[in-house]
This record gives sequence, structure tokens and C-alpha cells, in this order.
Amino acid sequence: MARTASRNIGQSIPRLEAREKVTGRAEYVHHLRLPGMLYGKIFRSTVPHARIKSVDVSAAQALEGVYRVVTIDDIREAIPHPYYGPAFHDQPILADGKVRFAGEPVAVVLAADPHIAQEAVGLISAEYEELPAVFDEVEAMSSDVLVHDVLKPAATFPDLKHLAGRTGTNVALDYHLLRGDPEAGFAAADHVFEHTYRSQQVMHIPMEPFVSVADAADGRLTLHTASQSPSFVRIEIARLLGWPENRVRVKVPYLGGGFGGKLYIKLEALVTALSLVARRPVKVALTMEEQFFMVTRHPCTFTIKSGVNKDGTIVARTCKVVWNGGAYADIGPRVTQKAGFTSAGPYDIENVEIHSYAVYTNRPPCGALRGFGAPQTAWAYECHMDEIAEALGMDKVAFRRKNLLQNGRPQATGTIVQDAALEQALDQVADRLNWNEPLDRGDGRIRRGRGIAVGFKGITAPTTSVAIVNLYADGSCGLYISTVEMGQGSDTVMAQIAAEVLDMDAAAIKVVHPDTDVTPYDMGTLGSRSTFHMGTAVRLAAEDARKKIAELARELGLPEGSNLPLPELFRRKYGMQAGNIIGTASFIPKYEKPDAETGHSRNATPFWGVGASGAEVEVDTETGHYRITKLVNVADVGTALNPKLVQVQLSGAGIMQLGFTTTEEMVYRDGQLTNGSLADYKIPTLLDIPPEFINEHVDSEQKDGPFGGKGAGESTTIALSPAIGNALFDAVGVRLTDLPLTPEKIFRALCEANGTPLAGE
Amino acid sequence: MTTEITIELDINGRSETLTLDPRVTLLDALREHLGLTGTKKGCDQGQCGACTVHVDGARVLSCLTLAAQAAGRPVTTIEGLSAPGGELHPVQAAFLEHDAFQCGYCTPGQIMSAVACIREGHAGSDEEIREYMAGNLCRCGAYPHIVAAVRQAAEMAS
Amino acid sequence: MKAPDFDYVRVRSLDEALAALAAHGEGARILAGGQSLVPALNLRLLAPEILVDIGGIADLSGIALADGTIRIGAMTRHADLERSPEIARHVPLLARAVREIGHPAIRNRGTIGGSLAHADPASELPACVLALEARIVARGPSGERTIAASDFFRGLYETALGPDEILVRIEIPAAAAGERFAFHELARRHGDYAMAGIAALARDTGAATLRIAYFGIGSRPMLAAGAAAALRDHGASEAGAAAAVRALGADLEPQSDLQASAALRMHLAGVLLRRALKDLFPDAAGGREEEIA
Repeated sequence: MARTASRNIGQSIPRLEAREKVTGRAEYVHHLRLPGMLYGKIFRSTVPHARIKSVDVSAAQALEGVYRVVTIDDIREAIPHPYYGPAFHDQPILADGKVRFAGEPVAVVLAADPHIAQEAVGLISAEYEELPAVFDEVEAMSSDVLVHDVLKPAATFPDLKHLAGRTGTNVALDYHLLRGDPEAGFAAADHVFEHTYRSQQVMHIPMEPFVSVADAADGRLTLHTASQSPSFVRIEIARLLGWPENRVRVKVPYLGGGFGGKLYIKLEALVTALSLVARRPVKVALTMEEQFFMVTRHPCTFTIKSGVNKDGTIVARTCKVVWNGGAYADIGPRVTQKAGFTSAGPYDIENVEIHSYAVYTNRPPCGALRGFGAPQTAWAYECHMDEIAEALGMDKVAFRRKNLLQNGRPQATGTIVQDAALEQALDQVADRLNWNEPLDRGDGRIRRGRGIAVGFKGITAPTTSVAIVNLYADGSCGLYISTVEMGQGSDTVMAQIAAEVLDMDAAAIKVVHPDTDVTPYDMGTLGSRSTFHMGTAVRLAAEDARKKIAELARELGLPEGSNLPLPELFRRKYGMQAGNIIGTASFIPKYEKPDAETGHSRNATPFWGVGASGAEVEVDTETGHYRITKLVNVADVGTALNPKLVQVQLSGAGIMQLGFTTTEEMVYRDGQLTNGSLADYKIPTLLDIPPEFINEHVDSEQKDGPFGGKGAGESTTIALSPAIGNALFDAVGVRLTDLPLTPEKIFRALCEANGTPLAGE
Repeated sequence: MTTEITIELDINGRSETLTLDPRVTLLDALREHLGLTGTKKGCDQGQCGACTVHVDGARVLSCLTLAAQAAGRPVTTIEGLSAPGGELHPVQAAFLEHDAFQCGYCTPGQIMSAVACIREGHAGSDEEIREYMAGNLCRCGAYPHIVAAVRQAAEMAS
Repeated sequence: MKAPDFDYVRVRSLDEALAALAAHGEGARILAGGQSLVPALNLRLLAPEILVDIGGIADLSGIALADGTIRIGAMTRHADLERSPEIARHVPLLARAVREIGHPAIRNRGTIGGSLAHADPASELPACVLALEARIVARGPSGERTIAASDFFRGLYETALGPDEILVRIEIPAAAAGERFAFHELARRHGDYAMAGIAALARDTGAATLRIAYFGIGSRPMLAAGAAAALRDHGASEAGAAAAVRALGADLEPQSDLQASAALRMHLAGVLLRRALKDLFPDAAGGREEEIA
């Protein structure tokens, strides 16, 4: 193929920003200081659900050095309807009469010295009339406790336009899919299995905590923000202010990690309001501890039921997935819908019914986190697959392979599966685990086992990316895109794509970072979409530029194929080094909105994310402590446009999900988070990396992707948890249904299985 | 009310005299008083390692060190490891070569920690590197690449 | 700068430090390495009027062997213990345990005196000095006094030190020939505070001199005297081990927290004891076992 000869595509070109990062000179909002800037520190609620009777800010206001203390009443002066959100306009900029989770922002102290602002926060007090609260997603489905009295759909995104919520309940979204007749399928099946699995609440923990700076003056606003979605920030802030978009400028330098947390609106509405109120630039930078109150990953309870024939064919499956959205919807409805439609797994099943519910509770809000819900659903369906195979006495790989969706077959929505290397990924993991060789399982205190899992995800649609390729008069090139470089390597890959079309070196291209006054619209750096969507837009924009170069050559009367260097073309046209050639393009993939009743769509996703994982574990049966001795992740990324960057994406996503599988969990007592700091909430360290840790991609191609590529950032999060859960079962014969998989849970399950309860219980 | 103190800090070979509140940590002195933002504030609680610098040639967490405690002792930050535009320190070069980072936010702390780890003689094997670099968190999960970079830099140094 | 207001003084001598303590009473806190104190200040768990930084008192650090006793200055950093050939040779338990403290950057600043005076029940060194029968030397206005490690730890973050006293050094009997130790901990994640840990020492090859100390189990480091007595009576055989594990019920007061429940901690204490016995008495208790911590 031509790409093997390319100097850009398929090459492990070093990150364009590598030098800035290893010298500590890379720019993050965290460093930014503007003249006259005030710092805002947040006073937060101490109760999970209450009416605010009063907030006493007098002592804080009186502290020397405090500029102003701001509550929702002050914010209304600047923004009369201070509610925001991508799916529902349900989140007040500061608590408005009510608090809905412990940790919700109630007031902000502004001061030129952040330490004085922090001290003043300690002088604020609030009186609450506490209300009954609901924390569990299943309970919230039928609870009399309502987190929101009125539901307010936003209608911003086309895939969420149908949102209404169920009035008088906590249900923000009720997604339904029906294919065939599952009840008839169950009746006819040889066996029926039903299990329930739970995922816990976890947090992104970007190492650079959330931070935004607003500078509002004279009817214009500039936001410097650590955001994954500058274009959406501009739209939403302009809506809140009632201003045209061109008066709101959003700039984003590098991000110190995002992982789906820094999406849509986070601190931007707050800093905007504060800057308008104070008439000064305002910065709000959260601490690591405060991040837990910003956005998290949905806990989820998933009941899955399958009808299976003796030969291992799955004939019917129903899924009831309940997502704990926390106090504000954020993008939860999209998580509910996107993960909902793939929640029956990557299997070819004739009769399927899915109910997926986003519910409000009195917890911190939940949104997107590396996988848009796919890891939570795969945790359930892939543990369920193992339980069925175990009961049928079938090999776990063979059982999966027998039911796996093949390219060309319809997925549950009816969308025909294309370019999804499910079987290849599964087989590659099995191969790396030597699945067909026996495993030494041990017979003493230490037992060994192995497990495997495969999963997939749909991609948010329909979404748009716009790119501008600007060729300067000396022939150098600027690439103007609103894709946010947060470590995934987008600057480099986008430069590679443009360079490939323009026949240049990627390293010679300057990627202009998001600045909504300068860079064009992009829906967001999220959900594995950038390589496919922005990558295509960049390719088309570069082709447009080439076309314009050819037109210029024709205009100058040059013969076809004259190949005069670009600077020379400019000189001939303008008589000196002057002018630009601007290539531009936008890209929106085909999409068909799912039928509201049946969930059917002929085009539910632009492409499929595919990941398979395998694990070998050693369990100490005396303590439940275990070690993952080998971990294999295989993803389908289409053509790896930059193999080195793909590699670190795959291993990085795997390590993150390893934390979500083994140690990470936000723990509550009476609605209060008890472990909201890195001292108590444990993310993986170097010592948690398995001694054998293999991350690979299959040899594949996304035919309609840019040079065969597609997203790689989430695929290895999907199947990792069930691979480990299945390995633990294989080792010690106990099935854990609730994440995370802690030694204590394993040990207790062993005690129960052996009929030897812990002394004193 | 707290009495301010005047201290002399030796940062990357330059002497800096600061008058500050004694509560100011070395991290805040670097970032807020001296504009040296290469050293990063992550958890600000001694849990993440993003703020690692060298004091007296040994790696320390600048968020758990009061600026006053560092007075009179040589402090090296990421800015002192290589000159702007100049040749990279071998550990920086190894991180670049092995793509041992993604977002880059923890990277200065990782690199300062790695330089010390090699100097301490704790980079003899992958296992040892894992143990002696485990105090530096990387949420992007570039860990395998960090081990490879430290190993290469250690081999070059020996 | 999240800490409450405090003043700061860097002292050059112990007398200066004692004078500062005498002047400020309960309002003063000694700043040693600061690796526990600074986070506690930042969390506003403490609000001292003044920090007395003893980092500049040169003669407070150092490791010396004399008359069969190892003397460790209070300001000796964990990293110095880790690197010290004297410690490796004469107090191998300490050399082993110190590697589990936090991470290298923490160990470069944290000190043995600070760790003992802080008396975190989950930290390693307090349990080690219990097992080692160390003597802790404090200096106050009326001179020095020596406190047995077993009398030093009074409760959660509570010690026998008076507000006008400074911990100046730790004295540990150097290892005798045939001395053995065991050290194990189980943590939720590598490098973390233990959810249960054991430090045990036998001065000779028998069980007669055995001292077993636990950390991460209750509100302070604890000696398991009943278990040690059971082993003295029965030896380190299976019967002795079983009796010792039973005796832990009376020895320990495990607590429930985010890391583990009390019942699980008690179980883990028994598991750790059996593992320690295998290290200490491989012949009686069967060979060493592989560990997944």
C-alpha cells in the first residue's frame, strides 16, 4: 500500500510539543495570571439535600483583602437565568435556594490573594433545612425524593433533542431499544440466565485540576480555560449572556489531562459570572480535593438476562441499565443513550430489549469518562458471558466467538457493522494469553486464573469538525483546529494528516491551539472522535488548499504539473512574499436518529470502537490480595497513524481502567464523600503495572477514516474490568459482581463460599 | 497575625531574596513569587510528586517543604536542568525519545525524580525503577514508557 | 499556603529550641522534616502559634554505635537510615522497614524523630521501635530522660512527650548473633499506609525473646504480648502458632476504616503472625511463603 512509503502516515513521529513538555515550559491555564486578576475560592454545601435558609457572608466580607463575596443573587445581576448544562439546563452557577449534593458550590469569595480568599471561605456559614435525600440509582428510580422538581431539557445537541425526562420522577432519560421478541426468545431457549452487576463512582483525577479564567470587559469576554470543548463553551456562555458568539472568545492551551472531565461547561459559567460581577479578571482553580465535586463517572446497576440454547447460541437478551447521574445531568443522558444501545454487547442476538435510564440522585454530578459508559456495560455483559459459558461448560473464547457480531451483520439498532475487528481482537488476546495451553493454577494458598473479555462502543453522533489549513507566503503552513491537545497526541496526528496531503513534514506544520476567535468550530475533544472527525476535516481542508494551489497555478498560466514551489507562486501572484492560501472543510458523518420507540437506526454510529482484554492473576486465598501477573489489551484503531502515540494511548487507557477496576471508588457516608483526596482515593502507581503488560492494535483499516485511521483513546478501557473479574473467578471460583475488585471483597466471598465467616461477625 | 520572614533562596544557581509569610511552601515560592511554573502543583498534599524538586541535590516534594526550610540550600527545578533552547539533559532527552508522557503536567516532577533516582543508584533494573519512581503519579498512565526512559538514561549515565 | 497563621523560628541549638517551647507552651510545634506536619497544617488539623524548626541543629542527626547500642539522632532522615551500613548491619529490621515509608522524596525529608513523635498508628517506625525495645530520649527543661518504647505511644497521635520536651535520639540495642526479624505489611496499593502490618524480633533462635508489634491495626502501635507469651510456652510449632493467633484477640484492638473492617484486620493480623513465624523460625513453622501484598 502507498502508506508504507509515506513519510508521515504510519510513522512514529515524536510529539510536536515534546520539548516544551520535558522542559516544563508547556503552557497550561494553571499558570495564567492577568493584571488585576482576582482569585475565587468556593464555599461548598455540607449537606446532600437541603433548602438554604440563609448564608452569612458578613465575616468573610469583613476580612481584610476580600474584594467581594458572591452568591446566586449577585450572579443574577449579570446572568438573569443562571442555569446551564449540555443536556438539561439544570445546574445553577451557584446553589439557588437548594443544594443537591454535599460539596455543591454555594458562594464564592473573591480576593487578589488566593490565600485570603481561602481563609474567608472558612468564615462563611450557611443554615439549611435538610431534606430527605436519595443516593442509590435503583432507589432513585421509584423514590418519592425528587432531586429536581422541574426538568429543563436543553435541546442543544441533535442527538439529545428528544429529551423530555419523566416529570415527577428522577428519570432524566429513558432510552429504549426493541429488536425481535425477547419474551418469545426466552420461552423457546434451553436456558435462561439473569445476573445483576454494579459499577462504582470514580473520578477522572486530571493532574491539572479544573481551572478557568474569565476576563469580561466592555461587553466582551475572553475565557482561558482548561476545556476539552471550547466551541461548546462559547455557545453555552453566549446563550447564558444573551450575546452573539463573536463577543465570547475561548482560548485553550495544553490540558494537564482531561479524560472526559473537562467537557461541556464546568467552571466557565462561574468565572464568567464572577468576572461580570467583579468587573475584573477572575480565576478559579480547584484543588485536587475539590475535583471530586465537579464531575465523575456514573455508577451503574445493570440487570442482564439471556436466553441461550444448548449449543451456546444466545437467542434473546434483555438489559436494564440504571445510571446514577448525580445531582445534575451534565452529559449523562448521552452516556445513557450511547452506552445503552451497545449494552447487549458485541453479539449477534435476534431478540433484544434494552432499557437504559439516567436518574438524578444527591451525589456529585456524573458525566463522560473515557468510554462514555461502555466500560460499565461491558463489566456486566462480559461477566455475564463468562457465567453462562461456565454453566454450559463451554470454553469462554469459543462461546464468545460463536456469538460475536461479524462485519456485515446488523447490530441491535439495525446498523450494519463495518470495520469492527471484534474477532481479530478477541483472537489476538487469546493468542497472547496462550489460551489453548493449560495454566498452572496452583493448589495451595496461591491460586492462579485467567480471564478474557471483549467489548465495543458506538461514537457520539452526529458531530461536526471544521478545519482550516493556512499556507503562508513562504510556503509554511498553519493548521487551525479546535481540537484540544491534552496528551492524546492530536497536534501531531493532525499535522501528520495535513502534511501527508500537502507533501510536507509534519514537524514543519504549526498547529494553532483552540481560540474561538481564530480556530473554527469543533464539537469537542471527546469520545474517540477527533482522529476520525477532525482528521477527516483536516484531510479535506488540506485537499482544498491543494486545489487552490492548482487553481493559482492555472491562473498564473502555468502548465499542469509544473510543480513550481509555493513561495514562487505567491511571488508571481503578489509581486512579493505576500498572501495566503486558505483551505477549509467541515465534516459531519452520516447519521440516522434512533427511532424513539424501538431505538432502530440504520446509521447509529460513524464507526465502532473495539477493545479486548485478557488477564492472568494470582490470588492469595488467605487474604484475598491478588496480583495481576499479565495483562493484555488489544484494540482496533484502524490504521495506526502514529504507532508510538497509539501505543501510549492504549496502555494509558488500560492503566486508568486498571485503577477503576482494582482500587478506585468514591466512598460515601450519609451522602458525604469520605475519601475525596489522593491520600485516600488510590489511583495506579508504577508498582501497579503488571510485570507482563502487552498493548497492541490489530492490523485493520477504517475504510472511511482519514488514511484508514480512527480513535484510540478509549478502546482499552472497555473490556479490562471483566477480564480481571473473570480471571479472579477462574482462580478462586468466586464471582464478584460489584466494582472495584478489592481484596476484602474477594476474601469475604471466599469465606462465604467456604462457610467460614470472619470471627467477630 | 503572622510575622513575615526574609529568606535567601538559591534557585538554579541564582540567589533570590524573598520576604514572605512563613506558611509559604517552597512550591508556592517557586510558582507564585518567582514565576517558575515548570514545577507543577498537583495535589499540593504530598501524594502525587508533580512538585518534585531537588534540595541539596536530593529529591523532595516542594509542597511539603516550607520555603523557609530550603533557605540557604541549593534548589534545582526543571528550569535549572537545561538552558532554554539549549541541549536537553539526558533524562529529558530520554523522556522525549520514549514518549514517556502524554499531557506533560506530571512530567517535570517525573524528570526531577528520575534524575535523582539515577544519581541515588536506584535505576539498576526495571523493578528497582518501578519501586523508586512510584511516588510520581501519572494519570495518563505513561508508566511503561517512563520506566524505559529512566532505564535508558541510567544506562547512558553509567 | 492553606495552613492557619503561624510564626516560624529556625533555631540553631537545642537550648534555643527548648527556650522557644518554654515560651510558647502548647502553642509551639517542633518542625522536623515536615512530611506529616505540613499536610496536617494544610488540612488545618493543627493550629500552632509557632513552628520551631530544628532542621538547623546539626548534632541532632547521625547514627553511631557504642557499647552495643545504636544511637540515632532524632533528625536523621529516613533516607539516611536506608543508606546506612550501620543500620543494615546492626538494626536490619529498621533497614527493611524504612523502605516502606512513603516514597524516596518523602524519605529524603522525613525523620525518625518526627515519625515517632507524630505517632501515626499506621506508620512503620513506631511498631519497629516497639519490637526493638528501643529507648527514646527526650530533652526537657530539667535535662534528659529516657522513655521505653513500650511506654512512649499512648494513643492516636499521642505520646509520652511533654509539651516542653524534644525527642533528641533513639537508642536501640544492636543486633546480637542469631537475631532474627520479620516484617510484613498488607496495603491496599503498593507504597501506601498498611491496612495491617507486623514487625517482629527474636534476639536469639528460640521464641523466648520474641517481641511482636503491629501497626495499622488500632489507634496506636501495639505489642502482642499474649501472642508472644503463647509462643514462649508452646514454641513456634503449629500448636504454638494457633495459640498465638488466638491470643491476638486479647492483644489487639482493631479498628474499621476506609481501608479495612475491624474483623478483616484481626484476620490479617493472624495471617501476618503466621508469616512472621515462618520467617523467624523456618524449621518449626515451615518454609517461607510467597507474598502478595
